Amino acid sequence: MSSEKIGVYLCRCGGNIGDVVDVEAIADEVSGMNGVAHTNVQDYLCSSAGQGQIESDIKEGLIDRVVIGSCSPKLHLETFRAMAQKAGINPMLLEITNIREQCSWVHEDCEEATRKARGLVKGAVSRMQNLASLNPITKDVKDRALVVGGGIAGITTALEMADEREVILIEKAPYIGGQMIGLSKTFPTLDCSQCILTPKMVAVFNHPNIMLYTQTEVASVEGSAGDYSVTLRRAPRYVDIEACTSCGRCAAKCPKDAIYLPFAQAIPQAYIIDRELCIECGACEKACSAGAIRLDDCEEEIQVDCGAITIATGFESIDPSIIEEYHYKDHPDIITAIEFEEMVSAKSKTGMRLQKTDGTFPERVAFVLCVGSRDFNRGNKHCSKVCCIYSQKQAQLVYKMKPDADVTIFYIDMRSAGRRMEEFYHHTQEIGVNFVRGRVAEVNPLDDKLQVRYEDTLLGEIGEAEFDMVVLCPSLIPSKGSRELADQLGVPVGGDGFIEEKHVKIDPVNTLNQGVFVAGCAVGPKDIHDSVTEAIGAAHKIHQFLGKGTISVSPEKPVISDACDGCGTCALECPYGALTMIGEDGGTPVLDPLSCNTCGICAAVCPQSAIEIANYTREQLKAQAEGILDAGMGVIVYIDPAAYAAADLAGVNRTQYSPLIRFIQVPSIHLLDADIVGHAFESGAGGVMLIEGTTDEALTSRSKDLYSRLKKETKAFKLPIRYSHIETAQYEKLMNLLNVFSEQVAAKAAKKGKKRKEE
Amino acid sequence: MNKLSLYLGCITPNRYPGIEKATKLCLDRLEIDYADLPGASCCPAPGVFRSFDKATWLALASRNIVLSEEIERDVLTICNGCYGSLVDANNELKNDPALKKSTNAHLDAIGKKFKGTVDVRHIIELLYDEPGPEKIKEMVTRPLDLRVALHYGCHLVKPSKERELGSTEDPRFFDELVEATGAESVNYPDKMACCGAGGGVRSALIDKSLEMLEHKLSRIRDANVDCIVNACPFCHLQFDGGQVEIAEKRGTEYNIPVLHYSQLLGLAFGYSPEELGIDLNLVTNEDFLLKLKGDR
Amino acid sequence: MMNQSNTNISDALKDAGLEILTCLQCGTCSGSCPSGRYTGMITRKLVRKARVSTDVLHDPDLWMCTTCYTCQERCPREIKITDAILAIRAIAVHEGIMLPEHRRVSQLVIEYGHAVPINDAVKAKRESLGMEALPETVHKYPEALADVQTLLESCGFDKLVTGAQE
Repeated sequence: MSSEKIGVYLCRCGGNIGDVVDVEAIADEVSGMNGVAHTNVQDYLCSSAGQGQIESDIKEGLIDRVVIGSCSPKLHLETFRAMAQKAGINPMLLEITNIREQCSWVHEDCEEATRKARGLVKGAVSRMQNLASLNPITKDVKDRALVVGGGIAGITTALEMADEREVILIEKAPYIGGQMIGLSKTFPTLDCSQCILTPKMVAVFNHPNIMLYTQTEVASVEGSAGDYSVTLRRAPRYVDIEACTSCGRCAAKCPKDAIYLPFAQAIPQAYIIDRELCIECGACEKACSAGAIRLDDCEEEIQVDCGAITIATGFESIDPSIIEEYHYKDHPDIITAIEFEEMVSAKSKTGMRLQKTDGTFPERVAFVLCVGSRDFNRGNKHCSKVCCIYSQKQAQLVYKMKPDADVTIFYIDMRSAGRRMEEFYHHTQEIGVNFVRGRVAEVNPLDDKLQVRYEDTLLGEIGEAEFDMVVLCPSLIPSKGSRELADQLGVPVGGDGFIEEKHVKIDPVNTLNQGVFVAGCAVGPKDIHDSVTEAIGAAHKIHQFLGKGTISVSPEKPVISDACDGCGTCALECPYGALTMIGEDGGTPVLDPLSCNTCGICAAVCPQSAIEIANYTREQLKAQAEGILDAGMGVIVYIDPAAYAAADLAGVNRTQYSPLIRFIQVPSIHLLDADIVGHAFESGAGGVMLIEGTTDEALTSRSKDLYSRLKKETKAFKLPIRYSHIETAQYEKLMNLLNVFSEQVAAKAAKKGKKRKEE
Repeated sequence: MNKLSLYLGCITPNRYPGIEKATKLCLDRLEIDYADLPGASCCPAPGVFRSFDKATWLALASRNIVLSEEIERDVLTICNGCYGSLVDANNELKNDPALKKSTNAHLDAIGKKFKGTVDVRHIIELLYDEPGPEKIKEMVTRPLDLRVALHYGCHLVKPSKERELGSTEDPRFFDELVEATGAESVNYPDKMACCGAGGGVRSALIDKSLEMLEHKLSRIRDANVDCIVNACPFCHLQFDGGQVEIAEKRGTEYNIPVLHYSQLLGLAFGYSPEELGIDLNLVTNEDFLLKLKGDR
Repeated sequence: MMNQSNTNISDALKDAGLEILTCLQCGTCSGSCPSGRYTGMITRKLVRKARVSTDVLHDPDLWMCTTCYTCQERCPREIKITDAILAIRAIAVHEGIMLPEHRRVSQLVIEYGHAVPINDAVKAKRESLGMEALPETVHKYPEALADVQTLLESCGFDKLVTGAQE
């Protein structure tokens, strides 16, 4: 199935590639390859001019297959394939080889990077020679959305979508409202948080299309974009939400204060029992005239289907005890800004009064900014964005409560960026709040006051001052459980712990996973305005995604040849039950492409080698490795899509590693066998690595065996082979592994070379 | 625990020999294997030598370490300053081949070579490690009924990344060793603050050094303690000699006795203050000595 | 070590593995400094000065640091402030800037191998404790002292501390 008309297009990417990789030289060399009809180098292939060039070349019949050498296929592959299809060729006959994120951005040595890129392009051409036209399989999406997190971002996303479709909103606390319901007045307008949020909370509760589950988290996720099957885990409330009228008679009778309403405006407006305190006396049950008590309530698993999932899990603050010299745990009047806020919000336990633990008003208050933020030493590197303004707001509130109070804000920089914020800062200054530019060195409980030690850097004077209350503004981080959720959804998390957007600037509410969206502080600290903006954006993106009604499933599926003898091993081994034996005498295997995950286990286990994965056949994989190694010795790294994303992340972060590394992306490493790997060694690989990123246990549970088998069966080559599992965010771990292995391979090759010289 | 060589430094043998004697008595009682380190020199004093020339610092420090390498023993220091100087030099030379090479070039002039085969220990972290406060408590024959202001000093726990001894703002390990003797470690403001002696400040800027010291002394006095306990003879000199200097220059008398941990432990092991050289301090507090006698 | 007056201090520090360019000038160091409270030394300013020019070499504040390491422990940018001060001091010393008391202490080490050598009063104290008058250090072993002196000469230390400026 070879073709004579492959077009090879290489992108300079405005210097991003061109300054490191000599694309002209590669184009030149490749033009002589069998099957290559045309080569072209462009500055920006993704531009309309660039794409237009390819389109017209196809239309003119100059080429009928396309190999592109450019940035990661994760960015533009779909766009290019759509263009190719429009121009009249099967979209599978256009492939992109990554010579930016996985080459020019990560190798400083231009010669080596060019050599590697030459190999990659040659490999891509060899692969393209043998590729088949395939038609994508479409499946229906489930027109329902799941939103994880019931704060302002989650609530907004849910409300924005609920008129069009069913939405499931889950929240791990017993009430919705997230952090926002714990705020008093919100900047810069100082309107009351509950006043603007409560109507939305009520709207969520009452909306016929929104199913709200509180005390609920995601236990597991199965399926794929457009077609998820999610198991939710709901903790018991011991009170029936529907039946409870929140009359409060139960709490009045409870001898242990175990039954309570989280706060007056809580939605769901229902009581809840803290089972740790409960002595099961039944007083609440007797007192409840609505029969709402459910002492036999227990943890529940709920199965839901949906097509799209939004991560709106928000933030929490660090424990400021990590900055020991602030003595947070040593004095009750050293509090966090969140505790300050709660004291004067709807959740207040002091009647919304700001007070010290002795009940008196704090006359002198210090706000300490950057507690664990902007801290490369003990805290988190990132700036938490909102503290400069909220501390000003809190200072303004103190002045409202007591006009002659003495408030000082200790800061490193006063960041009042954006609309209305500078004016807010001006107002904070004019009412008399004292601003001291100096990061607080120590907060010491001393006698009955709180001593703050600092340098007033604008005066150049070291000082000590006493306060009645010290408010620490702690670093804001993604809420507990968000990393686990991200892993379950196959979505990378940045080094700072926040969810990674698909593209930081131009695709901020999507993620690498087509069916997973993000909004709010889960993706970075921000204020309410920005969280709501993102939530509206995410709702729109979900609407676009689900609105199509169908989703294309990749057509790279197993194809069973005549060599099949009906033994049934493939059907037995398939972890997804995608193959069924149909017919008499054992029958022949029939594939359900929508259940198939393209893991390739069937192909690897078939005793007759009768199964090939379409466009990942043994011939194609071998040809690709051969082409790559034509440019000289290298390390062939078979990498699955999840780990491929990690390699791309390394590129985005410009993490350097050995140019010996040549990635070959496969849908799953489980389709590899000794034939494919052995051939790579034969073609000149100095070493082979298998890097797996999927967290699908159905596959990872077999990886150890796969590795031992491949090691054993390629022993004769006496060349190193290694397996590793990498989570998508662990690009640094991946880079270390690659570098260590490359060093081993290079050392071994050098030894061999020396030996050969001596012989 | 590896075998140890007892590195004395300068201030212990040449100003406060009681600390040397007390250390030896305690090590003997604890049956810890130590040997003398004949020919050792100044560590060299980190506050001065690291301020002057890195190569000289490394050369002198490595020579002291080499003396211990030659007898195959880890170096045991009883002074924060010596500890800082030797442990940092040891680590730098072990981890930086170029520095090791250049330092060995100097050592070559005296026929010595740094190999990096031993570790440097401080008696406080050593005793906490082995035998540990629980064991020490069992061995105490005369529990001390004393209120102690503990002074960790600076270079025992800092820089924390190199020391790996835990929190630098609120460490507890030295307190536990003190409490093992029966004494109470009393908390006081600025417990972890510097005594003001280091970095060449006591030598060159004595008045400023004493101001820093006096701040600590006044906090300690307000805490109503029987004595100050330290882990560093230079802090010891500062606290002891410094009180006399403050009395002369600034007119305030603090009269708080100063003990090195080895002397406190020695008392708990039943030795007399005279045996431990406590009465040889510049600040002699008769009440304190009487109290100690009374408890026997 | 550099020996020209137009040394770029930041570069020299970087070569010694000490980065000061990323200083935020937040003042945590000064606020933590036990010396600063009494001597008027502003740690933050020293770091800033080192970034800007070689004038820092002549700053008397440079010598007021007790090297307690509190600033280095707390610096949010992980700047090795104390180590940098030590390194800047060494540059200053190499340019002949050294306090007379420090020259004296250095001379003591050259002469006796100890920064704090023994005296008669302490020898007596030692004997009263039942110890030998001289400790097991270079004080007791002249060959060892000779070794130390050879080493100091090899490092050029003797020349360094006599220096151009007395």
